[in-house]
Amino acid sequence: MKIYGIACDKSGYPAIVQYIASDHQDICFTSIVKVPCLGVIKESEMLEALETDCDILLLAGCPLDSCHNLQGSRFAQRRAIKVNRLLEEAETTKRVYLSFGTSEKIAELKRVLDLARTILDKQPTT
Amino acid sequence: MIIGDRKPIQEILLMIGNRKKVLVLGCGTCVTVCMTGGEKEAKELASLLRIKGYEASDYTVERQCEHEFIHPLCDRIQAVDAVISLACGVGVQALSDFYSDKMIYPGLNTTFMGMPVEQGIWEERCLGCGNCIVHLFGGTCPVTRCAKSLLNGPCGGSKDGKCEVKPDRDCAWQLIYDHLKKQGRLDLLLEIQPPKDWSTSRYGGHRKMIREDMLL
Repeated sequence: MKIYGIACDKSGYPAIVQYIASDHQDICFTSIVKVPCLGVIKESEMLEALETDCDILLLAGCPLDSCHNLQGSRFAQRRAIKVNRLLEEAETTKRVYLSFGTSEKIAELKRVLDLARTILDKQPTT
Repeated sequence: MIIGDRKPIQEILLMIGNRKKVLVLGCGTCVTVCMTGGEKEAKELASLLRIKGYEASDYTVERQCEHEFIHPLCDRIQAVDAVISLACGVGVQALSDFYSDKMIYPGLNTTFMGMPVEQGIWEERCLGCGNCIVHLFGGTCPVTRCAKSLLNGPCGGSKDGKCEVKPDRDCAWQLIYDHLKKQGRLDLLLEIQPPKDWSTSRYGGHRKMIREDMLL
């Protein structure tokens, strides 16, 4: 599974680094973009990321209720929902996945990526 | 402003068919404000089309309904097989008139002239009848906002200030009463309004306005 990652430098990025270090060989990050907060990512930028050679876009950031910038993760969540609706409407298999957790705990990230892989495996190959 | 609603992606894909080089053209005025056809939406649609395998680009002009803004698009439009206009029907037709050899597709359905009443909700306010009389109704247009377009209302069917035809909308005549009461002009309600002169409306075909003072 090829992943384009966008992560906040407070929680998401350290979690991704830990996750990669914990030896998950079937996961390939094509890019990891570090941003100050997920709240800065617009819908058009999510779609641009999905235009690249990746299966999913992963947005990794702070927990929803304790975002370093208060509302950043919630903004990202709302925008990702909108982008996923557009992708669904366009009948593409690519999707945006969200992982909101603290930098120390990678269990949430693992759960999201496992879910993404399960869903992708069920998709008919085009 | 003119309110538009983006067409379903599948309908857009069906329209453009196998035309692979596509320009998604946004409009920087009304449809930008109602968040359906501005720069942001043009970028999103172009991106989606690229994900679907099209060679799509995007651009946004200040207004698609004026020739001086669409004239400079010549090179961009000649370089593509089709244009998806995210403007209202006026913009689409202005483009089609100007670039009559090109396929110009509407990316939006133009819905009405209205305003945002709260974040994410727009309501119709004007029918463009060509003979405005809202001052007689406390500033609320009964032609547009009353489901029955009554000039001598109310109909008697409203309940708790809501319309009986569409219970999620305010009764226009309740609003008219409230406004006139605030203005101390409830006496206007005693006047019988004559039948509306619809000759200024669009039922005789499309309308045209000539301003002699503006002609060159």
